[in-house]
Amino acid sequence: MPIIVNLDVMMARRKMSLNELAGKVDITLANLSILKTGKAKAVRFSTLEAICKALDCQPGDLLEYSAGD
Amino acid sequence: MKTKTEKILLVLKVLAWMALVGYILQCGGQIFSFGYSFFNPEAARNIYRTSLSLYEMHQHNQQYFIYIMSFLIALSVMHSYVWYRVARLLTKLNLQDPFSRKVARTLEEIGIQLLGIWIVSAIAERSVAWMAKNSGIHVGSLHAVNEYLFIAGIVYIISQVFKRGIEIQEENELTV
Repeated sequence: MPIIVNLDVMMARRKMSLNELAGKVDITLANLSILKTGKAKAVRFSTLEAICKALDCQPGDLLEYSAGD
Repeated sequence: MKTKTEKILLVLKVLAWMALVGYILQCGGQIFSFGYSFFNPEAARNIYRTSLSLYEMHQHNQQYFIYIMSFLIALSVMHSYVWYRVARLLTKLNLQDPFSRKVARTLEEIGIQLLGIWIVSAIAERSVAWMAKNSGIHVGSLHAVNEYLFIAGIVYIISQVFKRGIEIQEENELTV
């Protein structure tokens, strides 16, 4: 998919584990894992908002468009 | 407690297995009649579960008789196979998670197989008519063929809608 999710990069920058983030944004670990591995087909604005709030970042820091893939 | 849909599906499952047994018996009966008619031509008078009387054809032109019987047996085998697929589908259907790619694929294949029955029926119908005209012996009609095209179309459309439903379900499951 041409949309790349950079959740792992942002988590590494903030030194936050997946378990910790799951607790903060109130999303199941399984769903967060789907997002992190790039398997997700869609992201709700509410989820994006919660992740941005927890990681103190912008949506653009999490999502990237790459036409080549 | 079982829901109304579960009860209906259970009844349909029993009916599908009964239909399968019926068609297997029909197929076996026709194969037996066909084989037996070579020893006793009288067997060609009453071919199992058909309205055809092929005794005169058997006496007049055995090659035509073999062609007609081959069509009849082929159609019985095809019917049995479709009922087998339906019965198996209903038996293996998991009502907790009925929308799976396997079910959609089976439905699509059943639609294509029904189309196959229509094609073979249409060829058989015309061939029997041609052989009857050629030999001057009336043997009767094989099947009402146009219904199969209609049913095949309906099943195929349902399978495509089902497929789209599965795609939507998968998208929902992968929405975070």
